[in-house]
Amino acid sequence: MKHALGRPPVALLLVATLAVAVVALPLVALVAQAHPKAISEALRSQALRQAMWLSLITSVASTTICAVLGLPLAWVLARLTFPGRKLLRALVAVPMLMPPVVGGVALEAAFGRTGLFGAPLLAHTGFSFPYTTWGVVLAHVFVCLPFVVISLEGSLRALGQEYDVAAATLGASRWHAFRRVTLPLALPGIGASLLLGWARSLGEFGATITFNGNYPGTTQTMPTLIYVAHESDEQAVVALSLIMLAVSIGILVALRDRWLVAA
Amino acid sequence: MAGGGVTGLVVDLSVRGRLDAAFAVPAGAVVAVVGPNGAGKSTLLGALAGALAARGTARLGDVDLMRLPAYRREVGLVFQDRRLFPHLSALDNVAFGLRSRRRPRKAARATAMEWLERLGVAELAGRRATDLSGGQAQRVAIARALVTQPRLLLLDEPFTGLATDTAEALRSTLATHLSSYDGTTLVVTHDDRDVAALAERTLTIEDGRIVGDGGREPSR
Repeated sequence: MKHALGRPPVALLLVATLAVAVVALPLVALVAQAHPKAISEALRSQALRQAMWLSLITSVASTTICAVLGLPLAWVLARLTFPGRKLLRALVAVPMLMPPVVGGVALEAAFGRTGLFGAPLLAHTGFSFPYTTWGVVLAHVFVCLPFVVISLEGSLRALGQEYDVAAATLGASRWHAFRRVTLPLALPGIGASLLLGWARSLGEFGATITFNGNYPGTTQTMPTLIYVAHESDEQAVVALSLIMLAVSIGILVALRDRWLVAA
Repeated sequence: MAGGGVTGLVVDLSVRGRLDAAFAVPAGAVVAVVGPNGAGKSTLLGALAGALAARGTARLGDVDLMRLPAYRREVGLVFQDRRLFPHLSALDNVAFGLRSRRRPRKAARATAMEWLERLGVAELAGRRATDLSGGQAQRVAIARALVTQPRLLLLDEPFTGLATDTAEALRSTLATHLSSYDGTTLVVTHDDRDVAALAERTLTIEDGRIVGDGGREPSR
């Protein structure tokens, strides 16, 4: 390796190595702790299978909802100019920055049994979100939607308006241009954004457990199962954690062009 | 609404800090728009096509284009950068304007194919826009702008970036086509050969204003 600007400072290299250790050591330890036999036993447990299944269903459902709700909002933020747009974007981004537990509390205030909207909903329909699988999906959507919207908006902006303009001069209404030009061109960005949202949903813990508790079969997802199993069954915890680590690495590989290549 | 007829163009447009131009062009005329870089030539085309916001009027026949959104103007614009849709084939690029007007896919593709033939690139119909050479892409872009039979055709430096012989061939194809086109055409160009081959009149723009309006020779 040649350094045209001189040798890199040792102090920077040392601290950089320390940073790598902080990230890597726990992951290495997690893998090292795993006993294949105990893990295969843990994988047969019903609680674990239930939690995996529930995590899969709720994360796919919430990602789908995030796509349907997020794409129009991202388009509005990326393509329209109106007073208060920056404020709107800030509002959308807030759940991304606040502790998920606080999100759970906020959801309770809105959709809890005695919540602002939850109480009339319960009175009129007999349905309420908390402590149901629907509640898990709602919590996931609340937490993941900001990630999806902000990421989608970035993709739409990166695409630019040039092709929208070309479509308009060819007689395409904005709706036609959106469907036939913007959407197909933004597809890679949309895919990456949704994968990011799905990963966030799969790992969601704070808002979910606060709003829905931790009931096997209805509200217990992989992360909330890890939380309770941590007290009792160490190998189950390691097994669950390894599965989630593997999923994260899978997502990283899928998004390698976006994340592993420095701009 | 569509194609042809006696529809002259009467323009009085301004784009803040970039353009303040008034002129009239009779129906069917081909007018070259010349002037230095940054003079406002592309701005003029963009304003007429609705690609950017402008004040004033641009009457095409009895319609003021400025009162219509871009997609209702029936104006064909060939961009300097071609701007073909990269996710579509050459054929679907050309069919796009017809599909926007709700023509059935099959009919739209058949008409698009005729236009690719006229521009001499029928054999490239199935090729992705991104796999075309500069000259091929420009032929497809021209076919795409013409297929809807716009009443006003705007060409922004149509031969820029092409090899000399490619440009020459395309210039003569376009000249042939424009001689039978009954809409009005504005061609932005830097090249006197374009003026000589295509235009019967020259508008010269400097600093956003029309400073010359004359015959075939650019007035300088």
